[in-house]
Amino acid sequence: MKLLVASYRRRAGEIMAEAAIGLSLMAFVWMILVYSLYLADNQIRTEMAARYAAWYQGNNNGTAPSAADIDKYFFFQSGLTHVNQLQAALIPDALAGLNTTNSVSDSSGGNGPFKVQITFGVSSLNNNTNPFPFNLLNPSVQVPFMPTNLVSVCSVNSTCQWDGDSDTWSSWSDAAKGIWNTISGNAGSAGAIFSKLF
Amino acid sequence: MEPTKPANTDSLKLTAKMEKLRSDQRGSVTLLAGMMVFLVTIFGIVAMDTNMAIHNRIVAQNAVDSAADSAALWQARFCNLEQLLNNLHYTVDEVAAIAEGVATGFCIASVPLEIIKDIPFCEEVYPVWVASCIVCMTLPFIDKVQHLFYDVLMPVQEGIVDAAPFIVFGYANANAYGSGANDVILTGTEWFGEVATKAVSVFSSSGGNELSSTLSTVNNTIGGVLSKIPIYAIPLNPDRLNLHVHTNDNNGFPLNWPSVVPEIGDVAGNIGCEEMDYTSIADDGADYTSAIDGGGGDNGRESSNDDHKPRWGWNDLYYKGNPGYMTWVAGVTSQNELLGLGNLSWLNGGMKDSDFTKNGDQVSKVMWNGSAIGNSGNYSGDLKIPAFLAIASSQVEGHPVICNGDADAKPYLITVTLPFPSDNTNSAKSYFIFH
Repeated sequence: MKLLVASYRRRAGEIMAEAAIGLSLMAFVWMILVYSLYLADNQIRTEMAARYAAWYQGNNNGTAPSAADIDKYFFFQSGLTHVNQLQAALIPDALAGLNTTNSVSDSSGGNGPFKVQITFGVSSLNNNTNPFPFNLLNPSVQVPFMPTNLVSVCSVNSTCQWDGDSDTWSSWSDAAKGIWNTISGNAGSAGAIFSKLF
Repeated sequence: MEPTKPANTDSLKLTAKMEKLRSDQRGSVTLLAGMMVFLVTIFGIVAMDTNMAIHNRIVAQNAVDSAADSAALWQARFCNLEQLLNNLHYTVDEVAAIAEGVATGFCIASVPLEIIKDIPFCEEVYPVWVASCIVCMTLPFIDKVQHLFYDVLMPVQEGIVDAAPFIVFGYANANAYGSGANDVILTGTEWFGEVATKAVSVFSSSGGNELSSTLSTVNNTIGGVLSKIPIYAIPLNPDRLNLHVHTNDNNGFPLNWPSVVPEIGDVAGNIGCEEMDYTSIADDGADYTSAIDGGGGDNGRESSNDDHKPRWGWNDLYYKGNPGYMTWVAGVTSQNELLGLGNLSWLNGGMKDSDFTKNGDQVSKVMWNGSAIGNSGNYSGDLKIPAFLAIASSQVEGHPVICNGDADAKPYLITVTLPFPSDNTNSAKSYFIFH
């Protein structure tokens, strides 16, 4: 009986130590998974938001929705959404498989198509105005050991393109402007094909 | 001499060791924690794969909606362009007819004026006669301008009709591509391999087999002819790319301006304004029956009205019609699931076909006894995030292209409408598809 008691005394704290390590590991994996699923869920939301944003722009003469509107309709957190206008894919781009990600103000002259990228998440690891989604982290504190170039893992994005529904060429002026923009836009993209091929 | 150990001493030691081992709890938390981490990780990966599948499904639907909407938009734009040209045609003919009517009136008036001006004490009529003849002399000019306008207009409108399908198809593809769609031929092949062969039998009575064969035909045709060009969205019925706007006989004034009016004016002008060197249209040497001048079947005049262009007046055709609806498909190809765990065959949870039966009886076997990794045995493939093929319909709404009216065509996404069965081109089936 003495031996048994002594044995327990030698192992004092072992279970605590194991629990500390094991539960920490579980908590770490849990947090990583929760965060990953949180972003995965929000990536679905960004896809729906991107469609709405592109549709909205196409149906409102090129006026993009505000980030606040996107927040209101699609996300539970506010202040983490960015609406980014990208250069829309035109016919030559699709033929050549060019995936342009250049930001533009409006390359179509209001005729469309409009390509919108919705980004949800932090754009800076140390930004007071753009709080990290987890309350566990102080927004003004950088994630430990995370280099700045890994900031992309803290955000998700989706893009969608929609044509300019609001411009149906119902007047001569609209038609003339639309024809010009169509020709000049596709001619510009055609140049990109040659630059890719040669 | 050592005392002899009791016979059960070793047994007692072994029992004590076992008791000690059984009561030893070292490592149990680590083991449990490790198992929990493994399970949580697996469930997490499954959840993220599901998220990715849902995301891809939405991407596919957004892409095909964007393509269908864009196709309808470009058809609406071309319809509006045709309508604007029709309206211009109408207005020009209206103005020309009124001008010819006025000129004819002055030609007729010039006949008595030509006589009166030579009567003594009526010389003050001379300026009136001159003015009448000046107006009268515009008669052949007006007619020629109208003919020239018509000869320019009709090829332009025909060109729009001819070019429309390519631009509609091009922009639908560009928008599908910009929305994240993948090559629809590849996607369709994967999708049919995974889903459609199981699903087609469900709605075969509703035209599903026809859908399958049509997609295969489109696949073979486009894949063979245009295999070098990536295609991101295709219409189920490519004929719908056309505007379905055709030349049509007019319903009267102003597209039909009877030749009798200017002919009377011409005769009167030849009489009343001869001194002013009135030049009849009959004297200008133009061959109004030539194809280049709009006669002889040019510019669609061959339809029901095979009259050559009349020397005087006009009897114009105009473009009329509407495109109707279109149904498009686009999709996203399959993807390897996260971390490639789907490549572990035993995660498939299936058996090789040969394992299902033995001596004609179904037997129970181990879950998997083939290769642990990759596609082995008779199994169809590794676990993947499946390909998604989405479908959407759209149509142009508003007034169809008519002789004279508002250019108010607009694109609309509509309930998915399949153009089957194709033996009745006037019918189509609508399906509610829950997105």
